[in-house]
Amino acid sequence: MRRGPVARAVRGGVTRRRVQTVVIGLVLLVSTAASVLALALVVDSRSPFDHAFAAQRGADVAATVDAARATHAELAATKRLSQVATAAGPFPEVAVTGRPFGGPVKIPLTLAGRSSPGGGIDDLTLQSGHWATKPGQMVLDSSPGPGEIYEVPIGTKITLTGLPGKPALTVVGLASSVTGTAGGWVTPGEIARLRPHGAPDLAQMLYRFRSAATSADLRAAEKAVSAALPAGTLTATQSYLSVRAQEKSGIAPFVPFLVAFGVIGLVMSVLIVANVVSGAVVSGYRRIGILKSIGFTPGQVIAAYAGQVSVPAVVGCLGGVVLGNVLAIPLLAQTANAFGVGALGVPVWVDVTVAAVMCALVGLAALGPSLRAGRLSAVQAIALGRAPRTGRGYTAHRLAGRVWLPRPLTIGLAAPFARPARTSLTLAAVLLGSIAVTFAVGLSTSLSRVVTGLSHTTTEQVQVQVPTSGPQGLVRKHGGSVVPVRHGAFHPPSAATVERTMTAALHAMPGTRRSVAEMDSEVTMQGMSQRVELTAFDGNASWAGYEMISGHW
Amino acid sequence: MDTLISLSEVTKRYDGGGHPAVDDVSLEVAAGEAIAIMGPSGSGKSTLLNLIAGLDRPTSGTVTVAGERVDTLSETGVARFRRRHIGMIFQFFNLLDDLTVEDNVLMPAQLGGTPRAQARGRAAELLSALRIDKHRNAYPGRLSGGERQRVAIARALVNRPSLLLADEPTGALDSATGEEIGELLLDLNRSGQTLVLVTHNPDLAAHFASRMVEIVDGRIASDATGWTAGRAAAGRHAEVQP
Repeated sequence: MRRGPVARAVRGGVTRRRVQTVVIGLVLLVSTAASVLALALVVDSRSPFDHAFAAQRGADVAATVDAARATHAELAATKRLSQVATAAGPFPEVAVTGRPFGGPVKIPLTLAGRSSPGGGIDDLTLQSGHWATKPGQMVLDSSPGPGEIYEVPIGTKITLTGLPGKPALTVVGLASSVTGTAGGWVTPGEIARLRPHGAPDLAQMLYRFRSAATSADLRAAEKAVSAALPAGTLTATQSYLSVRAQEKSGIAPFVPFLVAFGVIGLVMSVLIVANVVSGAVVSGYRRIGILKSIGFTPGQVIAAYAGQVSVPAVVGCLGGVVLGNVLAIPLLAQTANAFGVGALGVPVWVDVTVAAVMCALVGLAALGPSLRAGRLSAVQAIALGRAPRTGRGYTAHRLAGRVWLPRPLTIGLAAPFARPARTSLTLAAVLLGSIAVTFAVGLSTSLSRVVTGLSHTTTEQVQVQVPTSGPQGLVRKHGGSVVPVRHGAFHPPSAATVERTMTAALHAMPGTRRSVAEMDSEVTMQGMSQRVELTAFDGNASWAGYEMISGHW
Repeated sequence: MDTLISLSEVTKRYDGGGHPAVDDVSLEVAAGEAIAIMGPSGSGKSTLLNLIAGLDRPTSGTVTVAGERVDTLSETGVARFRRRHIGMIFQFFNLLDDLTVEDNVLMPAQLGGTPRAQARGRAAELLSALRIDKHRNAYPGRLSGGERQRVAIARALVNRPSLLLADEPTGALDSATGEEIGELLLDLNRSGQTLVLVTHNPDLAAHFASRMVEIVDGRIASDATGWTAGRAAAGRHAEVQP
């Protein structure tokens, strides 16, 4: 096959048919980018924790040990146990309570001393800022805790209470651990300074075991580790299975929607590409006829058309992969945040697969019409380029002509039946678009109802902060303005007095049928690196919208 | 004279059935002849031309051009046949709008395997003879109808075909430009180029062809020879060597 004339025909088609070239390129650019995004979402939504766990080499077990009971050599020896695949540590650990900005909000934190975010196990993802390099700096866990609504930006000073001199740590970075091994990280030498007097000398050991698929596997491995250490050294453990179970329960409501959106995006991309590419070839039938009339063989015609469509398609495809990855960074970061896992990315195989499938799709979409054009005689190709094949859509035109509508309108209504395949593709794309919109509206409405159900809107919540240590207290209504209440000489009231007074005041308000006191607090527990939210009620609060799943008040 | 075209009992029927577009036509054209195929619209004259060029296939009968059975050739074979033997001019020019004038003319030469320098020389010669060399780098969309038809003629002649087929070559042109194009075709025939001209214009046929075949409803209604082509030829002549 002579390549010169074919190349010239391709070049002419690409450079002079700019609208078609640009449209094909843009469609492939957007479709490929959307497909990369959609497939990445689908893949990452299937098991976000597992993906992040594998990517960040999460710890199967984070063990808290009493470093005073075991030597470094004894702890290091556990790394050589047959059950242990790899291990990291000991990282010194301490539980503290911090006040951001020195304000009233208290954050209980488990701090671990690590010299860098990387490692063979629990490779921390630094979301922003930098790692702590000197005393007085800390990197905060960026994953929101349960019910946590505040943000602590970089630069915030966190005053640690309960320590002599109330030292302050400056937040220099935000990082995340896939299994939440700590609430914050400081330099290893800093831990000793932050340990309250009399607190145990705790350290963190991170393990990956050879068998870690089930709780029984983990229990057996933990038992071996415990047996290898002096009695009482292993004080608490946290397994990745419990973290995974918690993550799964949290993301379960979102996964079907994300998967549905991803699948719809993929299918729509495929349909639109097939439609545009086949349309480009069909619109070029007349040109195909001319090429044949001057001596192009069917093979050369197919090559010319495949080339003409492929050049912008491949450029669009490659650009789309890049664009998809760029767009995926913030989107998957949000998804990772929503899922509570460290980081999610676009797997390389997604890029390669999408690019290959899109190119193959373009080839297939162009091949059918090109082969047909190659088989047509030149005369037929020129004729088909001017109008669809004779008789196509005739019945539709005849029936539409009987409808009491302006004739130009009925001609337009019947026209799609002349090219039924392309019309079907267009209809399918429009149908899927409608489904996507319905899904989006449905998702929004459904989640609004869930939020409404959880917000206990049948009650009016009044938040009261009881003054305990200063001359000034705050009383504020939820969602309303903060009203400072000044006192004279400060005499902290007893809890019973406060409760009695408030209950009397609330019941004296017109319209109050009943009330329940609620107090939220966060606590740290040994062996649990994450904070635990505790909510206390002074009575049965089921009437306020709290569903009792099991047990009793 | 040698027979260049031989049609034997050729019938062409389209998918829809009904009356055949070409019905049992037998025709012979000698090398060097200028023949006009005439008839009203829909009579089958363009179909007959397409069958000779191998652009379409007969339902039955045989089409032999320059000793080759065109009707039995494969699509690839017929494409190669066209490159070697056929130059074709259409009513609506059928130029490739996305290529320059020169590239349009060069395309059949490149398909035929003519070396690039030789092809460019031939294209330059034709563009100059047809007085469109100043438009060599222009795109067809910027040219007048007459200029476009000259480009189409140059493209048709670039491979020195043994047969030039013209389907209503003046149909889309004003009368003065049509006259010029007719003169060009006449000059070509005088130089020995075999010419088959399809037209529904009897004046044009009488003026430029030495033989007139009239087709009605797909059948040859008359075949008159002995015309003296160029009886009233006048005006400017271009010297074009086929």
